[in-house]
Amino acid sequence: MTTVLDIEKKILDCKTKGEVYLTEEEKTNLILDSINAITKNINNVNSCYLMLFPLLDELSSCEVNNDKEFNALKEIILELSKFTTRTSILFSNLSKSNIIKNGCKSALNDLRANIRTLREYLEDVEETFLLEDDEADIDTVLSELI
Amino acid sequence: MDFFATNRFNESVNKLIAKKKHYGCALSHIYKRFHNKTDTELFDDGYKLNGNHPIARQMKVRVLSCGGNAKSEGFRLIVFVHKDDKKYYLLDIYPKTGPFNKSNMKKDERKLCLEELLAEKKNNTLFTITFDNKKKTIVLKN
Repeated sequence: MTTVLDIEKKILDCKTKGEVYLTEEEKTNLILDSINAITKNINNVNSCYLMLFPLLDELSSCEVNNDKEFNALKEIILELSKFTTRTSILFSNLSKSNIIKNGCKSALNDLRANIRTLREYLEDVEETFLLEDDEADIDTVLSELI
Repeated sequence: MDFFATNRFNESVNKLIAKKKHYGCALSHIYKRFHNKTDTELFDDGYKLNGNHPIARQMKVRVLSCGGNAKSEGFRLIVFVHKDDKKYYLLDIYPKTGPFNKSNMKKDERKLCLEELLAEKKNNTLFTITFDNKKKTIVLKN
């Protein structure tokens, strides 16, 4: 038959295990681990952004020759627009917490800069490939310079 | 390649470096961006604003920011590169952050940059750019 003493031992063991996480040192470690994990994740997103930029530079030298390529271009713009929106939401949510905002400051600053840069690239890509514009004027100046 | 700058670039960069706290490092970052680059790299590196022209391109080039860690903020340079003449022209510079930040440069303004380049080439009023390897910066000479 279970006695009060048995249960007391189990309860105290349980409590002791829980108490480990209540020490100041452990609390600090937990917070630091979380900040490191979040920073790592943000930097993974930042790395993706940094891989995208040279590809968009490369895209600027391409010509759209048929409907298939035109649709691919539209798909690129659509998918990257969604990507910036999702990352903006992530940035906004993470910035709401002061601990994360200060702990992951550098990674979050990079993320904000990368979001802005990708938006700038998307504007340029749209202007280069999609907007109907009179190129004649600029071509005249270019031909004089060449 | 030989490097040149228009009066517009000279004015813009002087306005920026006067704000030492935010943009004081602009010239040294431009140095780092172009120093020791091959002609092919210089002709290919950047967002091509007038497509894949085989001889001459107007491009937008990203340059690192002062102090910040972000690899994609910083400055944007509007340049014109002539591959056959081996000439690289800096037309304008604007920062993405700080008090003089600008989000993008419109097509009309980029066209104006080219027109100014054309006029300054004809009048021989372009600035010559040299690379000061000791101080790791660029120097503009009239």
